[in-house]
Amino acid sequence: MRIDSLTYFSSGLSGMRESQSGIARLTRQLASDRRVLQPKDDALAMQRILDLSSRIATRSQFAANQERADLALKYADTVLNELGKTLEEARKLMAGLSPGHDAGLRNNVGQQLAGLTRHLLALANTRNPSGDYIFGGHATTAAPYANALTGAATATTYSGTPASPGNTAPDGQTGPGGSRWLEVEAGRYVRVNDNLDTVFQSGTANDLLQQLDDAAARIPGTALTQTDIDNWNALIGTAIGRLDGMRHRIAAASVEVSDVRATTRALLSQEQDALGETQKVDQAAAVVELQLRQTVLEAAGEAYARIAGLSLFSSLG
Amino acid sequence: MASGILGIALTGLNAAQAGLRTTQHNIANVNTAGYRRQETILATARPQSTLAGSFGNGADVDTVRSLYSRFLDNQLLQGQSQLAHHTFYSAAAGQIDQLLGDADSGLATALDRYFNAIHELADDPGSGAARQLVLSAGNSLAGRINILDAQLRSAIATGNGELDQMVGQANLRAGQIARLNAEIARVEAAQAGQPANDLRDLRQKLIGELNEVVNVSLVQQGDGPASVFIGNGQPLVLGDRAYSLGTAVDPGNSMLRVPTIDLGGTPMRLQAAQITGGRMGGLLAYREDVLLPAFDDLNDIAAAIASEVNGVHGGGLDYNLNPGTDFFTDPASVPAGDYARSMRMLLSSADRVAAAGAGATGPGDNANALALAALRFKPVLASGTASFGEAYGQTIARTASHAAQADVNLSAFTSLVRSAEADSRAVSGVNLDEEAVNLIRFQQAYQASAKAMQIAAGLFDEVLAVVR
Repeated sequence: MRIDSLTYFSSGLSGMRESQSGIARLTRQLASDRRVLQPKDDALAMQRILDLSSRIATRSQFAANQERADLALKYADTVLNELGKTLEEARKLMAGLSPGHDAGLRNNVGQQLAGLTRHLLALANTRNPSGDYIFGGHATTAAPYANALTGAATATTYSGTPASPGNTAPDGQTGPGGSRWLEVEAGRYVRVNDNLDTVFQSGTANDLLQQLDDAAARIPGTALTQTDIDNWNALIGTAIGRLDGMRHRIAAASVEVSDVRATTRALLSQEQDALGETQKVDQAAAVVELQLRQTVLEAAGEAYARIAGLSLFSSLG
Repeated sequence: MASGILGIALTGLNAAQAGLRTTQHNIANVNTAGYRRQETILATARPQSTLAGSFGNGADVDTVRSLYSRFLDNQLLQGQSQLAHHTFYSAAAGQIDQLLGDADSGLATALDRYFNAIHELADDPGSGAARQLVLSAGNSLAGRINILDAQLRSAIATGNGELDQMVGQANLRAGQIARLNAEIARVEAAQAGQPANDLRDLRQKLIGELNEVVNVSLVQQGDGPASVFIGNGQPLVLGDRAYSLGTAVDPGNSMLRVPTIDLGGTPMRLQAAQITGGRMGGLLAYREDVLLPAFDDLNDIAAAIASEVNGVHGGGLDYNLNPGTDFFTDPASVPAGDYARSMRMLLSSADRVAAAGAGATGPGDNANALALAALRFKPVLASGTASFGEAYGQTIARTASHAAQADVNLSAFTSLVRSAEADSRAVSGVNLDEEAVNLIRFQQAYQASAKAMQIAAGLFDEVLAVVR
């Protein structure tokens, strides 16, 4: 077959160009540690990378939500535990009290009860590390419970969200008014706060703080009756029961969050591995290919040098 | 007889000189683009008839001809036109592919950040920091969309400028081809029909260059002038007359310029389907397949995000329990197709983020933030089958698929054109070794004719000596 000189001399050029372009691509891949430099390099892989990246971003956020939920539940549980212990102290004081005790003892009990009542009020107005009142429902910026506790048995004022009517989560769960849910997984919501007013019953006949304030004032007095003590005991018992109910709910919610966290961690790890495998360069394979292309380029260069020296004119002298 | 011998030797000298001259011309043009090797065609001179028989009168130079195959040249033209098409398409589509798919310039990361910020707000609706984060993520999302829109608009404007340039180049080449048609006709008439090889080569080269701008079909009757047609047979060059291409604003989309041809009267629009090759074909196809769909998708996605977010945000209450307002610019207030440019985050302060649901009693309510977060997965695009992120993923996938296909086509046509070029050059290209052999061949022929002349002169001297 006839071949012209231009084709003859430049036939190795396209091969050299391809080798150079391949070496440039491999160098960029190795430098960036990314196999797919842009979507068109591997449209399917890029689709998978985008999908995995989005899933990881979403799941990481759910992991953060779970941590928030866990912290909020633990925080509430710690406060409710302290509330429970305080109420148990009050119940113990009541259990050891009798109208026949001497004035000094009753005075002492009254003072202890007044201290416990102030502690209960302080706990009911607990703020989380962000400064939000945790038992005011949606009203998080103002102390929800107010009572001067002067011994005058004034009613407690509750300025938080009333327990009734209740709230509904996006997935249909219901809770008392002022409930707040966090999304811990796509479409899965966990309630992270409780309405303490079912325990304190502010403003009602069974207003806990009002009754305990009244008791603290009356216990040192001579008009104390066993019926009074029994009524206060019953009131404290009811509050402790409701508090226990709340703590059980929080415990169940914590377990749920913990389960979801385990699943989220496992899935996140799997997705991160899959992303790494899809996105990252196979270093060994890339280096081998680089070496191969360099060898081919050198061979093409050598071939060109030899062809360039072949001319009948140089032989003719 | 002696003068006859001298005359025959002279024709041999002339023939060898013509051969040497053509060989030197070939060697000189070994690297000239579009040059097709030439050869001197010799023929025996008219013989002298005598009663003793027919005596030859030497050699005549019949013609100098270019060596080429019209079939191979046409095959190469077709391949080059498609190669130019896919080269342009691949490079342009690759840029859009890079723009949309890059984590730093694409939309995917900004969308994720925005919805994660909404989640942070739902986690702690009273937090000023979380609210500020939503504002900042909303600003970033709108900003990213604005930047993408500006990049795509810039690509559209660049395409318009390139179309104008291509039209200018095509008109320049068409004019040159028409003038060459006239010049070739004049020269060939002056030299009694002998072909004007070098001018014909130049015309073929210009046709090739025009064909790389816009695919043409060629009609050439015999060795007459070349007529060049584009599109559905619209003439661009007829003999020595060139028609001009132009551009006009697309009546269906004022952002675009489209090619036209002026055949007298109102310039006629050339549709993308008519321009199937050359860089112009690549530009029009890339614009239809990649650029405009990406631009439309971006506007649709941006408008859908704003519409959904505004709908939910307006139904909630802000930190001070005032009704929520539009979070992003209202898409209804912006002309269709212009939203991605106009999208802005509208809230003036973090307090205005409506995280609380309707009827909330305090800023601790996160019902509306949860509803906003749920929009991340809501299938509102692609006829209610794709979320914002999925729709954007589909845009990237479609762009990548077109860009990858263009790369495959580019690779295929590169190899096809390389092969067609080799085939064509196997006929037309200069081989220096061949020319070296021709040089020796014609040199020897010249030397032999000179020797014949010397012998004839010797014979003549001997006859003169006898007479003396």
